[in-house]
Amino acid sequence: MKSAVILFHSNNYAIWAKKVFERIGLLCQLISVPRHLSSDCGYCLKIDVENMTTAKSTLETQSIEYDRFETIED
Amino acid sequence: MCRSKYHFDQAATSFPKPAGVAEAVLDYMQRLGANPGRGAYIESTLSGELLFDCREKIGNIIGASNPMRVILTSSATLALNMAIQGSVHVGDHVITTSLEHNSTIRVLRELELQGRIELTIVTVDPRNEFDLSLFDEARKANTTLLVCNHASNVWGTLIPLRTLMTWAKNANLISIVDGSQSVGSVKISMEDDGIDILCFPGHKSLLGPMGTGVMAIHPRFDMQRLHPILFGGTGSHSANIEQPQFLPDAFESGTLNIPGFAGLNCSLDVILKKGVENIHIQKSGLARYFSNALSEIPFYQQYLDPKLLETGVVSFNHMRLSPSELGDLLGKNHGVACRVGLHCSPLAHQTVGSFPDGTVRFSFSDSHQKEDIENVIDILRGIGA
Repeated sequence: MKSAVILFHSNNYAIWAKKVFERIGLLCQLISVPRHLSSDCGYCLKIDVENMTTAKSTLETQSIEYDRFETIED
Repeated sequence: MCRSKYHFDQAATSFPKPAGVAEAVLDYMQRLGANPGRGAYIESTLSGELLFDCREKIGNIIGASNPMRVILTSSATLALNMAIQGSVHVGDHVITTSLEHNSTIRVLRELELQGRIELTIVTVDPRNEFDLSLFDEARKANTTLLVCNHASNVWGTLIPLRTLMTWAKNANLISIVDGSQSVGSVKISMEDDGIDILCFPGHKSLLGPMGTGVMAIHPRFDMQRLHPILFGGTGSHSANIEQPQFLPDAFESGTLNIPGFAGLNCSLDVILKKGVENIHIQKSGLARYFSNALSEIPFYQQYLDPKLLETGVVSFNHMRLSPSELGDLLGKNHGVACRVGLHCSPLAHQTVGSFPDGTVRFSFSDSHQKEDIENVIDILRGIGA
């Protein structure tokens, strides 16, 4: 089973994205950044893989800067 | 000594705080207590969400659409230091006004004494019509920055913000506005008014706890023109020993006063529910009502036409008693809390002629009633000539 994670430059952007996703009903979860993706001590946003397109367009519409999308094994 | 019955020192700090503010501070300390951005455990993420909520609500109040450009600080003074020191370079010329609080003018004067900037203080007399030509005359080839307050903490008057911001933009100057006495009391919009950087505290008209402040940046302000003056841990880009460039992290090193922002998060709801326009009408109405009533007592001197009062602040003097004598009498004998002296704004008094003694300053909240004003007018009348 795979999930998508969205990495941000700052935890503040992860929280902003979470708030926006929640408002449009897109399920998401803040998790610690997986060590193999980054050595940052912050968190990223985990979403269902099938929601990646919606998530990406929402972030861009809202001008919420992000680093990148990755897929991870659950 | 008895507790004050009338707290007319709202311009120094709001009191009492709205219901729920103290509880929100306590709730944070007892139930959450975590540092945001340091882990994905629930208390840490909830703390981060609390700060985000603050940024978003503040953005709604000040007309700033990007919450990441709402930088949280410990005070307006720190915010002003960050904005001013972060935007000037050696040899720059800066224009400010004679109505500034020491939180602005001392920063500028220190930079001038260090030989880092040239400074021109434009005399803005709140009794007179605003004269933009004085700013034209002050401008030089090396002018880069305009710093001004929106509302005078001594006189309760406003400068024509949009006019001055448009002038600054046309002159390609960075504009820094001290909104300490207006944000939460007077409608302000960073985007509509064209303010580059707006600094203000959380504990005055936003009704939050002390130890909270904001440096808000216009969504289209070029961040190459503002540099951090404080550096340290941000919980982001931890592998990098250089300060991150993105907002708000670039300007938010170290742990914030999150209990304070928990309280502010609550008081912001109160402001948004009441509406800043309604608060403005109530506070300016009380100030004018008080000023008009006081003008009928012959042994008090006022300096401004009541129609000019916009923020709930009124400065006056007794013909015989000094400001401190009157303030002590009001506080000790009548339970009236007010501020006396120069209110940290010596130039504002020099401008109007109340320097060096200063004034007695009453400042009202929108929770005060006309009856409070009438009672204190009776007290002032009873003091005698």
